[in-house]
Amino acid sequence: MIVNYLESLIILSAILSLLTMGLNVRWGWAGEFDLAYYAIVAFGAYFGGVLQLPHSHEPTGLGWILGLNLPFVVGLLGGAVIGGVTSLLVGAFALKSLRGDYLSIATVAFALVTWAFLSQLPGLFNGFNGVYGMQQPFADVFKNLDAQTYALILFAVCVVILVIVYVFLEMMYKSPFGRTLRAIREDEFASAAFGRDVYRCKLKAYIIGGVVAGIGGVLFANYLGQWNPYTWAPIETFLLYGAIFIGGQGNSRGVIIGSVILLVLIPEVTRFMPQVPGKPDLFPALRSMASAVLVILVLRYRPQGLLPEVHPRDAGDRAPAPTAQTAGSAANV
Amino acid sequence: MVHFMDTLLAAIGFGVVTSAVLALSTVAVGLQFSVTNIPNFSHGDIMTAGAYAAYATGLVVSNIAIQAVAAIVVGGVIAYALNKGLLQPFKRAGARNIMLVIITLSFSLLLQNGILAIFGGSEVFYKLPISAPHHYGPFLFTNQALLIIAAAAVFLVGVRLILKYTKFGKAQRAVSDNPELAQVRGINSNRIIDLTWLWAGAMAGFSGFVFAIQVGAFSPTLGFTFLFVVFSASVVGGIGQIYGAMLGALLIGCGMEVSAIWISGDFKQAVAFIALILTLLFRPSGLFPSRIRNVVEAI
Repeated sequence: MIVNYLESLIILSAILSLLTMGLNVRWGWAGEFDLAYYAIVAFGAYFGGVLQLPHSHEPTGLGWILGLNLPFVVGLLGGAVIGGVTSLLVGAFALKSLRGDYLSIATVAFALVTWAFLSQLPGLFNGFNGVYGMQQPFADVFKNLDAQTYALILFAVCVVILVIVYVFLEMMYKSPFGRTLRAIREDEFASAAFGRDVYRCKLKAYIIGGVVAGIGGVLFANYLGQWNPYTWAPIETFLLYGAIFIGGQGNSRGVIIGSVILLVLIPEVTRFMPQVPGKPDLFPALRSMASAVLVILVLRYRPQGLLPEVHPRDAGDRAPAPTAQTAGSAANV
Repeated sequence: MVHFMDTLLAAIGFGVVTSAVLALSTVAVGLQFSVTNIPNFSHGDIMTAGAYAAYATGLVVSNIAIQAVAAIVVGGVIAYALNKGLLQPFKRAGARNIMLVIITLSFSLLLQNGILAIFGGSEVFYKLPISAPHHYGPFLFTNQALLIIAAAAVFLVGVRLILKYTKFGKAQRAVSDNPELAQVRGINSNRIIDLTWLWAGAMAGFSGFVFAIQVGAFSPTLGFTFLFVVFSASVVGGIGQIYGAMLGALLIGCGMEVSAIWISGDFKQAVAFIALILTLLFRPSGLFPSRIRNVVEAI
């Protein structure tokens, strides 16, 4: 019983950590304060869903596009591609001319517009009903297994995807490209003076973040079995930021820890709080307040997060680890 | 054709009311931004706090003037506390501007959920006398709508007079232009910044109250989405200009209502957001850029 519970917690942690790691590429590495991230996650989730689902049988006017009945792996790849493509389209415009707070305002507006359109258009992703009926990963392949054994498979799938993405991102972080991104984050103009194509590098980081968002979105939607305007909100991006701040900006391991604490443990612990009769919103509200306070306290007293970003290779020549104050400084020049 | 003109004029009538609310809020954001240089993501929730303060007051005494005062006081106090309790300590610790933006976003989450915890998520409304709309020329206005427009006009004229003729207004313009220089010339920049937060918060609280009157029933998310409509108006008008802010509010307010003639009213806010994105991308200085960048300076 307790094992099953722990399993489900780890599955959820893996999916949410995946989402946060993608955002960390944008903010922690490249210093882009992007608030469109959850819209990209949603694009991935919806698109991955309609690739896997059969043709929709909704009444006229409603329903979803495609409905190709493809396997999970194709849905996952499709989500990754759509995450990358939408990020390319958004980033190509937004990163060209906008920095810092202006970038955040433009991207949050994009996320809100996306939410409005995806919710209101009945024929695209079924409006407010959303797409539903996605199976959990490989549930069709292992349909003879009992629920407990299948849970192990789901567990393995999520952890394997997380590890693959993690290893890939770590390699990228240590690569010359990763170093260039950190240089741009610290000082955009100096990097440009040293011949780096700042816009191109930032756009690449934006797209890589988007691909991870798409993968995470598909996995999340398949885990939930549905994706609709009630399962996502543009502002949830902020909670992912909270996880990054708590864990340690720029550090993928730290980001995973932050996600587990803020996105899984705090909701789980407060879930068992007693309900106050007549006040159904009280505890969810207090939980969100606690998250906000935690984020503010971390930024104030431990701005580098629980696991600060210190890379062995960098440790020698750049002694002070970047703090919240310096991370994202490029965005503010 | 005649029929269409009627529809259009009615929509513009609604638009003017929306614009009045929007202008109050946009000018508050503009004032605060030009002096402090921080886009305040919790501005919308300060509006919500104002609306709920008026609601709570209304449960005790149902008097529109007292309710308005409650909204103003609560809005001002919250904004002042945000600056004193959160932003200033972070600034003293050397936080970059973008971190301060993130703090306002965290504060927004805190405030919105604080209101949710106290008042619950179901919609509330003021007990105001119901008034039938009257014809004024081609427009249809309720008494409440007229009150909103009048209140906005009074407030905006007040802002202009304060900025132009009082010592505080002069000091504020100086700080907005160059805080260090102002300090050297004997202006207490920090005090001006504190008072600006208080003032902008008070206006935000009041605009939340009138916005709540306009929409009728409201919930703790009232201000948060509206915030981005406010940002649209300030960006379209040209960030940092008081007349630009008003014109931006008029354009966005009327644009939203008029667009509802052709497309579903659910997309009203999306129209404002698209205007915001397009302006930021293609004309970042706004439609009415001034040679002088700062809001208050442009008076």
